[in-house]
Amino acid sequence: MNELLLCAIFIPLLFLAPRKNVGAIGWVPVICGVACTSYFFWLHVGESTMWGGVTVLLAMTVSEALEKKSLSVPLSISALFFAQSLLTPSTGIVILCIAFGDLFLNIEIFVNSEISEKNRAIQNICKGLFSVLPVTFGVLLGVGNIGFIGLMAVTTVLRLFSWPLPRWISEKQKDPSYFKLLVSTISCFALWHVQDFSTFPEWPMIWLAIVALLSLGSEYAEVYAALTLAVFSLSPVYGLLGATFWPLLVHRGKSAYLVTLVALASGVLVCDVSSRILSENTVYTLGALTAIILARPFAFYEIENRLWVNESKDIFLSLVLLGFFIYFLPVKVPDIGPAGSVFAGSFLLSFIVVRSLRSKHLKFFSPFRGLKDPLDQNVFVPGVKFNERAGTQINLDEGYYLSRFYSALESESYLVWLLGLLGVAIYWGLK
Amino acid sequence: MKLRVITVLLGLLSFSGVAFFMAPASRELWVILAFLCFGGILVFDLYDQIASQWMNPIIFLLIYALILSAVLEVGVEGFWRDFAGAVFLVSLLFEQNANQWTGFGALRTTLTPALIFLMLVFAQSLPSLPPEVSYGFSLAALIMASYLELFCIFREGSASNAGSFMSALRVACVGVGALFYCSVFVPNLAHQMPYNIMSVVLPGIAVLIALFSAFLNHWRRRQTLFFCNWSLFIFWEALSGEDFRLYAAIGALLGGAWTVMMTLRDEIDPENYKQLYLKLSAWGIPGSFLFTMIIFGISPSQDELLRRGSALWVLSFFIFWAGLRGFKIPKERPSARPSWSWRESLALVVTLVGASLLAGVRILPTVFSDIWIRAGGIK
Repeated sequence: MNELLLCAIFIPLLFLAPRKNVGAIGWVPVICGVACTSYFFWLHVGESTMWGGVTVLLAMTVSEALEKKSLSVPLSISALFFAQSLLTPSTGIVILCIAFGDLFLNIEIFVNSEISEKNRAIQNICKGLFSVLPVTFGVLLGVGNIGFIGLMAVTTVLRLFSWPLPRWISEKQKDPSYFKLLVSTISCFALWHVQDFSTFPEWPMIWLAIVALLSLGSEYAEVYAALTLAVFSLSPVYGLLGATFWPLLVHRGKSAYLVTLVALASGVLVCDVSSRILSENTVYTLGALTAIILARPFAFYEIENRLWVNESKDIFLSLVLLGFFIYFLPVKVPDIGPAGSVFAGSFLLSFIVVRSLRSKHLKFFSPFRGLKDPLDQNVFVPGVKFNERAGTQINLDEGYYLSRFYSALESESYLVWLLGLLGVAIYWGLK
Repeated sequence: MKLRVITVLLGLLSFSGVAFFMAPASRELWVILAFLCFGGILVFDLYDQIASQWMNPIIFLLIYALILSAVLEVGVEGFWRDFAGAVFLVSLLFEQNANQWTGFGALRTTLTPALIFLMLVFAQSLPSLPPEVSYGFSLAALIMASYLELFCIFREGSASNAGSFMSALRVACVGVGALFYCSVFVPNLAHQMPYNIMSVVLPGIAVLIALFSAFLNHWRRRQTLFFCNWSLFIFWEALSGEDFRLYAAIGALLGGAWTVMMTLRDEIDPENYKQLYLKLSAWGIPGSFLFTMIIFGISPSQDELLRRGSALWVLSFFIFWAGLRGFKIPKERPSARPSWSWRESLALVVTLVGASLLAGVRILPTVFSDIWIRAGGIK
């Protein structure tokens, strides 16, 4: 529960944060938060799964700050809440930290946008909460290990993938990648890092298959982050090594090729280790199929021309992080078996084919269109069902039986029925 | 206006003083709780609703006196008599301050549920009834009292009940009554068959009401139902029989009664963040006093039924939060509102401090002990 200290410090200053001209005082919560994060970092210095994620987040934030040359107060506070979620060992507190992190991101959107965007910022509060509902139910109901992993996977799908349901943060392209990564990648990693996957060794392969399915309409950054989570559930050390390349996802550059290579390595690792748990034929088949599908978003990725200085800076950050982790974590070089080779071969072949045919605009390789957000549908738009007008009876456009039901509700004779029921209850009680 | 405010204030203080000195030691805290609830309603009366006409302060003081005498009663019969009187007066206040409405539907007035509540109270006191049936009527009476406004929700002008002092009084009365009854007279009821099923039934009712509210057009009507559910939430926490949940219920009672009064009823000015924050806080979203109380209230439990109940509560609150997806700031700037007064500032501070409780109550002591241990204070 320590990590919620941040709430005590930040929330009284909540109303300061949204002001554009807040000046130096707005940075007070940020400085307090940095101090708290450092303190908790120190507390967990012996646990790599705790501090590893925070280090990656810090690198991503540095990358963003160097690129934009500025960081706003709400965004910084949001990043700090996500940092706290990475440092806590309790799933319940992770959910709370994510909720607060989402809230501050929405404050950032609210402050720096037009009226329509301001509406979206408020509407997003409910959408953000919707995404954490499954895992919240898991915590509250005390669902068992495998069931809980399933619920957590649902939350991960809702937050990490923009397909088939859109994420709340990715509705408009105005949201920068850093926002999306905070909401999706970091928050999902925070949920995963406290779970024990050792009782469910088949999970990495199952998750790989799920990722392959969801990659049909998703972006490459989402797929890469999901692959990192698959590797993390296999081995936290390798998962953290994969996460060192997340700073490369913040911007669209040529570093995407490097990310593709690491994604390939992640798939190889998962298939290889899974071949020791599942039957080899299953892993070969699944590995080959997932590799073919997974290669598409990487091959379809649109690379932007960036200054070589900025590009080098991101790669440098990631490599420094990788070196840091290799030095401090007990990394062993895995032996690659035949299952891994099958995955690698299929992935490379598929990547080359899709990349060469990409310019032909073949529909076969295009990402699938997603569904509309159910929360945006008119199914439950207030006022559609009940017309709240003056009068003795409500005018309803409903069917016969519903109209009769609501008319009965409005009827005075209904009171007689209520009183009759009460009498029967008393009579039953007296008996 | 000033005379009415001073009258209410003096009445509140004198009643509290007399009750406090007359109360046995075990009831003093209940007097303080009632004073905090009603005092908060008076202090956070942003729109001077209570002092708008003489009838309001008089009934306000009468209700307060009845609630005080209810928590000072030795026997359960006396408690129910005073409590029922208070609930009936609250329902009368709704009608006293209501706009004109058409129609004769008996179900469209708050007096109908108050009458049913009274009958349930009479029924539970019938001497020949076995105790388990009597408890059933008591619980039904408390549920009925929680949903006073539901009966007039379709009436024209009923939207103005949101953020009204009548609504706050209903939350306070039902909250104090439910807490007192459950913790003093029936502390172990939640662990007895068949009442343990109430751990799921009550949040189930709340989910149904939340679903019903999703079809209502006006956000104020939805908020009225939100606070009806909030009363039921307090009742559920009190009934659970767990100590920490009882304390959470006390916090939820204060938070609920005060927040109703803190709700701003004007159109939103997108440039005024403080107003917006106060307005959103009334829905219990993250970063509000009510959210803190929700988290305390639904803390994980060993009891399977309570765990299911907690999940249902989260669902019901989420259905209300889902109403935010239709949120739209008006295109035209609202006409100038009277300047930001000390009441609004106090409301803002209380809401922020309440939000901080999420960490402050449980976290700080742990953090300090951590620092102490790390610094070598404890070997």
